Amino acid sequence: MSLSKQFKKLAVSCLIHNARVFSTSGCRLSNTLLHRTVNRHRQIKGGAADYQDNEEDASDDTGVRGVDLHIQMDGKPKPQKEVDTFKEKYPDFLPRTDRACRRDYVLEMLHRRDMFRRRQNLSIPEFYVGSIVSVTVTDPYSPTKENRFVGICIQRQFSGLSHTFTLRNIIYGQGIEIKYDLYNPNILKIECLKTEKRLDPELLYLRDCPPEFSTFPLDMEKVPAPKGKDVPINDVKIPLNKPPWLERWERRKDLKGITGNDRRLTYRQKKRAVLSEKPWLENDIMLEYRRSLRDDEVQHIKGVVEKFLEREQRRKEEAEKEMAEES
Amino acid sequence: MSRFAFRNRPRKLSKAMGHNSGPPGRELRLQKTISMLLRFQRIEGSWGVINETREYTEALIERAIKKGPEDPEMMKLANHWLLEKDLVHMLFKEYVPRFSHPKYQNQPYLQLYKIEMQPGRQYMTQMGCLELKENPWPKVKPDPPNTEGQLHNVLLKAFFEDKRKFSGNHRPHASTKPDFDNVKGMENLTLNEDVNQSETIRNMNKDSVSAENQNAQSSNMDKSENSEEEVVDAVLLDNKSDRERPNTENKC
Repeated sequence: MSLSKQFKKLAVSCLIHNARVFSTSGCRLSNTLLHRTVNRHRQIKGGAADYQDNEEDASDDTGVRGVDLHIQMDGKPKPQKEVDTFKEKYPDFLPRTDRACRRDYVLEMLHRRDMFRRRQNLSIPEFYVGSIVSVTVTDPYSPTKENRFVGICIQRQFSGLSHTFTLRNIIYGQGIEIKYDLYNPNILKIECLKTEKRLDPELLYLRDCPPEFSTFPLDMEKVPAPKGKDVPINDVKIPLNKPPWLERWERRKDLKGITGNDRRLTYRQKKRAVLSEKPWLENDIMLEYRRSLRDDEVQHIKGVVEKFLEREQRRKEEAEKEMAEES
Repeated sequence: MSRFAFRNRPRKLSKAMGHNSGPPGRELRLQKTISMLLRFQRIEGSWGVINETREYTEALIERAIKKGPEDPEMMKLANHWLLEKDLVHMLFKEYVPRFSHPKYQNQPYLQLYKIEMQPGRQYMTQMGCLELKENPWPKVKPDPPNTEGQLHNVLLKAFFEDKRKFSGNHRPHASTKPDFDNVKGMENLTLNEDVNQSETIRNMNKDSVSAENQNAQSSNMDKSENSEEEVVDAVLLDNKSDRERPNTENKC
């Protein structure tokens, strides 16, 4: 490289380094904010400007709340439980946790806005991994211009507008899994035929289980969900097929929804299994901390979502009143 | 945003328990240092190990505060990381109440200092000193001197206060509490041009002072004239030592 190019590269890298150094966080470790920025945003009446959606009212937002102690003075339900239920109910609103350094707060805010707009037009029900869902999608090449699929929800991935869920069913003896984007405008209707949870967060082992545990009738009727109670947990323990499997289920001792997890290993397989064991990861606090979300962040997002839901309900009630008055 | 700074990737610490010790050696080394830290509340060591223990103890204490001693998983974790079992009791009975104070909501529990390189060591490694906050030992760094009463600081404060007053509402979000009035050495200084005018004002009669007070509206001159007499006596008759008074000398 010529000298002038080298100098240019140095100058650009210096600029970038300086820009990073003098960015809003002010320090090299990007997951911290200086206390003065935190206090400045806390003193603003409605909460932080960059942390809040401008659509919502500024007066109602309480901003950052404290970490909840295990000692609870009031008789109310623990806010920790509310946070956990919110995390399970709306996983698409939670920010990404796999790489915290790659999080973009502005992008999350913009995604949230678009998600609210989509939810005004399509009612997305509450469903979990293990519940049976039916989805109707526009299909220009079908006679009815629609396409309906029913299946059990195996997996829910990603955060924001790219949130996906996979449905599994067995049709004419062939196992089929379809991955849908939750916020795809081609989706016409989502119905949760049976809301329930399973013991595991992902049910990918159904691929190695007998077919009767993955078949669900396509004309299944809706099972009414119990109101006011917690979501029911299905304690089913499914037996695996005979090995070989698609994944090494003998190494996954944390999965609670399976039986028949063991298999006879050869001498070489046993040696390789011992090498791949990592017992130091079980009690690794920092690993979990890097992948976890702060409670007050989740509470902030929860507040935003609940505000939207309240407003939606109010709009619907007003629309109904107008219709009643007209007729 | 996090309460304490942490690295995005874990440190490998390949020579934690001697050469070629690997991840289990790293874990054992961290267990040892965390136990030592919770027993003695201040610890020295090489930079990488110290930083890792800082991250792990912060996370451990935060989790202990959140979950409490009744959670069986929390007990298992504490038993795993703390090699001596009386430290588990110490964690839940002493450190959890200490760090449950609301001021630690956005503040780390541990403080890290860089130490000078010590002579006589074979390798030039960076050394650090890690301590829990509110520990009984004397401070690692002395408190910086109070420079509030120094002339340049007083003038700068007054300048910014005046700017804030006469700028209009360009900053509606700022707090309205000025720290201006807390500095006691302010009233000793005059904003007048004459140096001897302070003495002449002191020698004036009280009648003339009160007459001026009745006539004039609130202006800076009147305020300084009225308050000076009272303040001068108050400052001289104070029973405070020199250390508690803000130093007004510009010690360069």
